[in-house]
Amino acid sequence: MPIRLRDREYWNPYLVGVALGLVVLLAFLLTGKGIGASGAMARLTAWGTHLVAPDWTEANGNFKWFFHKGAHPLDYWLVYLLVGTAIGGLVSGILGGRNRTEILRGPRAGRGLRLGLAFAGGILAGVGARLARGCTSGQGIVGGGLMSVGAWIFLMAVFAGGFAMAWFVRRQWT
Amino acid sequence: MTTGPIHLQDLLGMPLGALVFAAVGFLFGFLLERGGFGDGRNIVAVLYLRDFRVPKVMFSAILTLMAGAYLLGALRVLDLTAIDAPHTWLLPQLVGGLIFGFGFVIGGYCPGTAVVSAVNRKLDGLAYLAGLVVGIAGFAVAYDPLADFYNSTARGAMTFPGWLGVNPGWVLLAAALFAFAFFGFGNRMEAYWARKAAAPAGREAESKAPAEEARS
Repeated sequence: MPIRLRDREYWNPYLVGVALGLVVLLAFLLTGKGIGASGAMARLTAWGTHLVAPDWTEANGNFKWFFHKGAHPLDYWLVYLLVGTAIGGLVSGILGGRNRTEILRGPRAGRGLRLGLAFAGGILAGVGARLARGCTSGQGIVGGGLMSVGAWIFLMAVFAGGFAMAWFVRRQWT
Repeated sequence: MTTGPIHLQDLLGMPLGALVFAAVGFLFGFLLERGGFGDGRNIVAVLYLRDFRVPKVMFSAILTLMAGAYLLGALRVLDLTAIDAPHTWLLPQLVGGLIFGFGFVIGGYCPGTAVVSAVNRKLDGLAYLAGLVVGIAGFAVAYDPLADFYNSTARGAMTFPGWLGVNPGWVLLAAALFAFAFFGFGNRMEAYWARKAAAPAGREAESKAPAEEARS
């Protein structure tokens, strides 16, 4: 199977998975840290609420750590990583001819339904990721690979929750 | 004496240190997009047993990481005790995972893939990210009454080898067997849908052919 950067086909999923694992191993060797996404989104959110309500944000039990000892919430490795993730995804999308304005949805779903459910799903994912202290990257891949019991509980619960809810939103996807 | 991690970000200082993380993120985002995860339809398809890209990528990554970390640790190239591994809170991670899973199939993304989707101008990915920010802020607003539950059933750095008292090699073997069984099941299901997609078209062609003959 040829591997091309200007490729309209997706790459083999096993190859992508092994490459992802090697990237995290490289990150371990170079930095002692893995990868993550929801932590950076939480810091962006706290940065936003801090603009509006600085005292509330700095006193909040969930957000105050981001401002510990005068720290800036965006001066953190996960935030730098997220910036790189956005650029990497953009470059791959442009090279693959997939960078265009659209609403991705199933054949039976309208635009409004799709956007509404995407927003609602994002809310639930935000609550779930904060409660579980991570998402599919930081908990799932890194924690799963480091054999963390909590990470595997999280991962199995994600699939269980997804399968349990799939029937109810089938009109959106199938 | 182990050699890694070398903490390159500290050696370089700021702002160069930030670039190390951005470079790791670049590869992460590039691979997510290349895997097809800038499109939520490819992500949720596993929940309808149609396309198994998500578990194939995810478990390949986890197995590579498990085997690699085990090997580099055994060779003393990497000091695993110096890695920030996620700690365990049993119930918050169970309940958080379920809620996250609901959001996963309703919204079509997880946080990292939504970023990759949104930067490629997918408005559904952007809507998911907007919801994500609202959900994170909502959790912070509701934090005080949730704090007891959030901090309950804490088990620290609980790992399968430590908990079960076995060599990590056995955990790697069990995870590999689980993943390969999942891959095998996924391949069978993907073949089933491919056959099903091909079958009605074949019947249609057969039923059409005589009619066209009659017309001519």
